[in-house]
Amino acid sequence: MTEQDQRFEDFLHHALAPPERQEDHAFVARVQALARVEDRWAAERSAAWRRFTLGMVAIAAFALGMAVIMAAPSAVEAVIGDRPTVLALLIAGFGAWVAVLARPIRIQAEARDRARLAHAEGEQQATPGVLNDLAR
Amino acid sequence: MPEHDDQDAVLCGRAARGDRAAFAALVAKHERGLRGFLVRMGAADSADDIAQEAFLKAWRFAGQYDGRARFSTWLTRIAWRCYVDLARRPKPEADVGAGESGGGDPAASAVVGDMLSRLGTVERAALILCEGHGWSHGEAAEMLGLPLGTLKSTVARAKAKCRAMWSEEHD
Repeated sequence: MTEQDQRFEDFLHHALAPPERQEDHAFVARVQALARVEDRWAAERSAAWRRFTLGMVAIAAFALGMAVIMAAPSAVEAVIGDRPTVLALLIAGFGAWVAVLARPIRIQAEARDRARLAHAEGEQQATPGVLNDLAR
Repeated sequence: MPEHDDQDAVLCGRAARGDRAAFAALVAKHERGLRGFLVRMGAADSADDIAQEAFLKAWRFAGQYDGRARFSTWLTRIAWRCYVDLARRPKPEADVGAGESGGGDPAASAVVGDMLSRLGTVERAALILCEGHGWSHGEAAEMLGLPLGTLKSTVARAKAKCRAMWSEEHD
């Protein structure tokens, strides 16, 4: 290798080397924030899908119930008879059932989001110590 | 030469289980090299966006990291795909080689930026990874998704082109 070749090699290594600087805390924080947003969005999307699925199941159940009523009016008449309050109670019961099924899912999703946010806030102080923990 | 670090695999495993602190440690450790590579690739304006996208994908798919390659190899491969995807989209011409990514000397940085701008995208990436960031040919081939022989010839070709350009100015 000639001296000129060596100079070129040195130049290339030096010029293409990654920058010498401290870590960019702002960039790290930005990526962390984006990860939190993404997690939250994923949780909300997942909860929305569950709600949608439940809604579809409820509609299907209602449609099935209506189909049963239409198919066997005599059996329904035997239960309800000419008492509209029984029919109203059955409808109210069905509505309550759907509400009871839907509510815990929403509450669980919100609780999970709150827990994740609290966890993330705790991590912001814990981050610098992670490598030290691993080293130990 | 990039340091081999088993800690990365441990951190990535923790990140896969939702440990954001472990993920932040990975970001802090690898952002400098990754962003430096992307800026040198000519994505000065979008380097941070691509790096963020790569890190988010790494976060999302941390469970898929199997530890066979270094974490930084896996991450750079993700970033390279993001870069290629972005490069395929219609956009204003990037200012290739510009920016403050060089090892120090701004004059050398400007000269090498000019050289890099005359190379093909893959040639540029291969040269930066092997000659600037100190990756082995095998690792760079994995990052860029190229066969080893192709990577070696690409680096040799890129280097020869740069040597010729450099000689024009120095001989």
